[in-house]
Amino acid sequence: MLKTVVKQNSYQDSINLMLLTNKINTLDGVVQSQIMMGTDANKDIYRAAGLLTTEAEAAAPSDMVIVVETEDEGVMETVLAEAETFLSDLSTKKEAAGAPAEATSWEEAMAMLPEANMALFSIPGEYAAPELERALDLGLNVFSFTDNVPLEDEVRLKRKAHEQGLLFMGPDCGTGVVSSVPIAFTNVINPGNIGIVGASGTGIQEVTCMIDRLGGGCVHAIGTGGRDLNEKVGAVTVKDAIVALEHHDPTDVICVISKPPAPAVRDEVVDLLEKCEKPVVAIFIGEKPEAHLGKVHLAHTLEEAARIAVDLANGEAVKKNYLEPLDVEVQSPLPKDKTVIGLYSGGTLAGEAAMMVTEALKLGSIIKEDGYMLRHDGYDVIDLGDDVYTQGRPHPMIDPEVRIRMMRDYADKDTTGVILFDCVLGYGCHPDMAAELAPVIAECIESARSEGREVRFVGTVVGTHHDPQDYDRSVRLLEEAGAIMEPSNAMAVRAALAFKGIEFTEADRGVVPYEIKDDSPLPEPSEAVMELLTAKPRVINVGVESFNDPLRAYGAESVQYTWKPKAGGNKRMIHLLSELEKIEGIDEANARICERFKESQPVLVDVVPAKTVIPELNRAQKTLLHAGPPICWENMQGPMRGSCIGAALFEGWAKTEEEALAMLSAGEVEFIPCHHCHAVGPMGGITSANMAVLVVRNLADDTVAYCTMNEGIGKVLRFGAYSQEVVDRLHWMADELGPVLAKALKLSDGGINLNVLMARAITQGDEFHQRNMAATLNFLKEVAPLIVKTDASEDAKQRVIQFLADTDQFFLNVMMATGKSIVDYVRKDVEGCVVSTMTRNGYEFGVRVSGLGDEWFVAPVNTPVGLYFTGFTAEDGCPDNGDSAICETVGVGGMAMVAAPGVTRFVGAGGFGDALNISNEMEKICVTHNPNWAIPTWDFKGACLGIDIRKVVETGITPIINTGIAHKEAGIGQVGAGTVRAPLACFEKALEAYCAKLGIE
Amino acid sequence: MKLDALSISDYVVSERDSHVATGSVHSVFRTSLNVGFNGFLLHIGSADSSLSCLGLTVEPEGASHLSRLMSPGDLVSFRNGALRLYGRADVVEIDLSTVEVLGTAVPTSCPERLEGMDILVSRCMSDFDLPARIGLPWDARASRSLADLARFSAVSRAMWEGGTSVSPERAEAARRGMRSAVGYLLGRGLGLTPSGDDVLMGFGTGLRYIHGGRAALQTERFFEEVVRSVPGKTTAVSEAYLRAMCDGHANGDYISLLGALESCHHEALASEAGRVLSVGHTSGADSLLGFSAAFCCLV
Repeated sequence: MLKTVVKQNSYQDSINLMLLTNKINTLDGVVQSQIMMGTDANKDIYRAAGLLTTEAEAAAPSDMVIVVETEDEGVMETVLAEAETFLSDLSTKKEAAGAPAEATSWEEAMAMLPEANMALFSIPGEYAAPELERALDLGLNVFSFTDNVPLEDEVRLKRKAHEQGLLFMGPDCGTGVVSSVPIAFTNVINPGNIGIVGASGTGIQEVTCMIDRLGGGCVHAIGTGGRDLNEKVGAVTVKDAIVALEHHDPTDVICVISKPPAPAVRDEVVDLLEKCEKPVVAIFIGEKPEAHLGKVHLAHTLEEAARIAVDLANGEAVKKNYLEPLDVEVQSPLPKDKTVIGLYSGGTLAGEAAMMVTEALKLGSIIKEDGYMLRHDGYDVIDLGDDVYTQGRPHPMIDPEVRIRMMRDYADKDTTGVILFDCVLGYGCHPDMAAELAPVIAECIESARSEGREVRFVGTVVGTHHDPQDYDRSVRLLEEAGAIMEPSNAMAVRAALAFKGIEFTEADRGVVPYEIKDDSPLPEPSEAVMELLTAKPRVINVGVESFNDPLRAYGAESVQYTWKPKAGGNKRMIHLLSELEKIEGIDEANARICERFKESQPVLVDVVPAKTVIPELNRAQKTLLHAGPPICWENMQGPMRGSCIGAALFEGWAKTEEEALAMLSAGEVEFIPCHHCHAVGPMGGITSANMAVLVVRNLADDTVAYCTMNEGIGKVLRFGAYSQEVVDRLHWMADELGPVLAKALKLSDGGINLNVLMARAITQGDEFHQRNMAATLNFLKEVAPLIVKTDASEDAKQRVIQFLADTDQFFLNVMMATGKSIVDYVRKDVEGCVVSTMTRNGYEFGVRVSGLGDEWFVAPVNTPVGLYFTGFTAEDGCPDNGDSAICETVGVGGMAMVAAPGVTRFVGAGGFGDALNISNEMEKICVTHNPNWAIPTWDFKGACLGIDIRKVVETGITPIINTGIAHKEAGIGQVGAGTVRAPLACFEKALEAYCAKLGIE
Repeated sequence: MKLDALSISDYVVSERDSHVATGSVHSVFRTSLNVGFNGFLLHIGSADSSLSCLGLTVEPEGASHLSRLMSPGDLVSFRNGALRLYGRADVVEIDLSTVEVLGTAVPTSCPERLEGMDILVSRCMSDFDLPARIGLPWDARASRSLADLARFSAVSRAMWEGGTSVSPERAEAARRGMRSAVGYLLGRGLGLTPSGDDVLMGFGTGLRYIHGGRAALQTERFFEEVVRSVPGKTTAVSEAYLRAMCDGHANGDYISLLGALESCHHEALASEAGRVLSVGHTSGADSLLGFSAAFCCLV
């Protein structure tokens, strides 16, 4: 049976998950398992393995999917514990290593390393193209370890890089050395005067290691990706790199390594090399050169390329023949029926072996089918790094499992005479591959002997003495296991052929003249490329974190960009975001929108009956305003319905709950969102004609906004309570509280300046949504002397002041009217993509966006997470309600959690560190900060300002809202408080609409 | 990183006529390093130190930077008039196109002034108490070796000053003593240039200054003996300097010392000798002791 666990929004890089999969597969009771991110490509792998469950099928690209085949019901508990331990070990190691700060966006990465000149990619290929392009747009040279980038993207990106004067190394560039810094899967090579350009990962490794062991050195080994000499790509990177090395003073010799190229492209490269002043050696694997071409020395094997390069580097003449004698002496060749098998982790090494065996035995030409590079009459040479063997599992340079199995399988065959293999050392590879292979080799040799057969293992270790693994020890271990170890792959193949009684020979090679076909002068390299080659690289490492190790160990600067797929891997959104990046003026428009937020000057000027200022409430038609985007009675949740009942009782439309319900469900009352009437309302937001509303005027252009007054906590109308005490309080507020405050405000000098009051209160620990104590007291401080001066009765004055003193959250509603007065001023400028309203009605969460006018973008609303009053649990909580998210819209509330450390525990956010993290997270989705409301606990940074829908969709970070929790049933009221996340879907819908407006499809 | 070579020894120029060469860093010190080119050792030092007869100088800051960046084994290439050192941290290019070539060949004294010089050297060196400062134990064997060298120089001088007054037996006895001293001193002591070698270098320099081409049949025996004996007997660095000495070259500080000697001013000589004395741990004292022996001043 298959067991599945989907861990939502839990991104891990593929190498870690492959290693975790291997670990889980060793657990008792696990038949097989696969742990991957829920991308479409990975789902294909699950499907192919028969592991695609319904849950896995439904997973999102940013979800981690664990599928286990087992007969043990209880095994998942162990699997999850192991997975947890494995992943937390990774983070612990990171902490223990004192890892420097990491970036989570390009902006952060560039801010951390402004002088960056290269981006190193190791992210899934399906998401890579826009990220690679972004790096180019940022002026960075690219090194893409990432593979599976479509050919058309490679062609486009390489042309763009070339036009911009940047070097595009890759994709599928497994290895490289830039200014003596090893990159990705790379050996540590002596620096020296040879510069390599290689369209072949293990080709570069074999040649550079040989050069090192011959006493030479390489200053650069520029990987280009295996397809660079493809006809469509046209060797863009190879050519750029050759030109750069020709102009690079410390490079004395240029060495070009290529997999079998397109003939026309190969000729272009040779033509270019002929124009170089520096000595040149080139190898096109699969080609058997009969002579050197003009100035270009052509090699047949990788070993020969290395030897020629070292001679040229030492200023010595190139020899006619580089075939060194073999150490191994074969007394009696193997019988005819015995064949040579190659089991390689390096593709180019496999290609070289296939080429040499094919030539020696005259078997035709090398192939590339299902990992086979030679498959003829029992002679098999296999590249175990081919996609066939690496989908969903680590590369054979990391994980020996597949090769070990195949070594055993082939050694068991009667026809197998020699098994050729490689053991690749260096950064990124298995820490001790020789120790993994040696016992298997010894076992295979012994097992064959016990059956009266001889199987020989002949191999080579690709490495240097500087590699993290021990080269000499690796060779010794394999020799002690019975393998015959040769210093190069070519010599290993020659030894294997010697066992077949074949002496591999090379004809002496002379020079034939070459006439340059394209007589245009050698191009000049770009400044950016030359700068890359003359200094230690400054790298933004996008993806696998361990790639930083060799960079930092050898003097490069690097910043880790902990990449996650944009927009949670949603390809439609990724496309839209990428298109938006190409459009100019959006940031400028958003900056103007944010200026409108900042220049707002809200002032509390009055308290009046709602119907006197809101025409929609001053009609014969019974009308109630409600919170959130538009909603009908049928979709209203318990608390909002309860508020409607309370309002009907308050207005005298009904005498009983039943009458009110009947009237409401009969459709006699029209419902209008507060937001459509320049108003806002907390929780249910129900506002009726005779309720008193606060009047806030934004002096920026006299935009006016309204909000009912706060009733206190517990049983209150806004949370859906409608008992007599609730209705009575509403009457008192309308009849006494409102008028007294109105009189007081009229005695003030134009009202109460709310910017000033808020600036003061935020320094005193308020965030204005869940905590308003300081602001309320500041308000009372302003208004009390005025109240005393009014002509209201002393009793009334006392009751009003007492109510204000008792009602800690009184300022919340003032804040809401403030927010509304700001956003309605902002919304008069219809451009940009800044969120201009967030609200919810218990059914849906709605947002408006600056550039999209009055249109609502809605998605089902979430239920808050938080703390419940005694006697209530999460089961009782209603999905979130209220226009109070206007606080977060203008940058306070949850967005400013760090300002109110006293609140964090109450809203379930934990301690101060959590509050800080929340505000830091919110900062990532905002355009800027609002200097009007500086937060002392945030080192006086202003509150977040301007939620950018692009950032929300790109990061998947949605605004967090501090909120009260209403009971899901009508009539009970508030049962707790906590936080709730805005749903991503409304921002995605808004992004679609914004793109449509800009003509992006 | 790019540096300009400021000065280079004419000995290096004469020895390195090849336009292309590759080698590797041999040894690294605080402000200088040695590069090995297929048997030839090139010293790259700071311009605020005297020029090595095997070397070139760069700005002091560049020299210490170079020393920090390079490690033994790092590859070095010489091509198109530039020396490039390939360190892990950086490739350093030293441009030799505008370098000033300075002579490091040891001059020959004027015979008429030698007598006065003997006294001058003797007075100057006796102030330094050299036997107490050398790197070898000043025992009977060391003392005898120095006496043998001094005798060899004296006999050589007598041969060209007095013509035939030196009997063949006496000349042979002096050569025997010299060979014995070379055999004892060569490679003896600690360090990159063992003390015994430094003694021989000082002696050889003095010997060439005093005698020049005079009594060549006799004095050249010393240089031949050193060249013959040196392979495998001492360090590569010391061997390179001994070969340079045998080829008639000395470091800049000795060239200055000989200049001061030529002027016959005690103070100038004492000053230059003091500068030589400060070289290395005991190298200066060792070589001055050998130099004194050439003047027969057994201090």
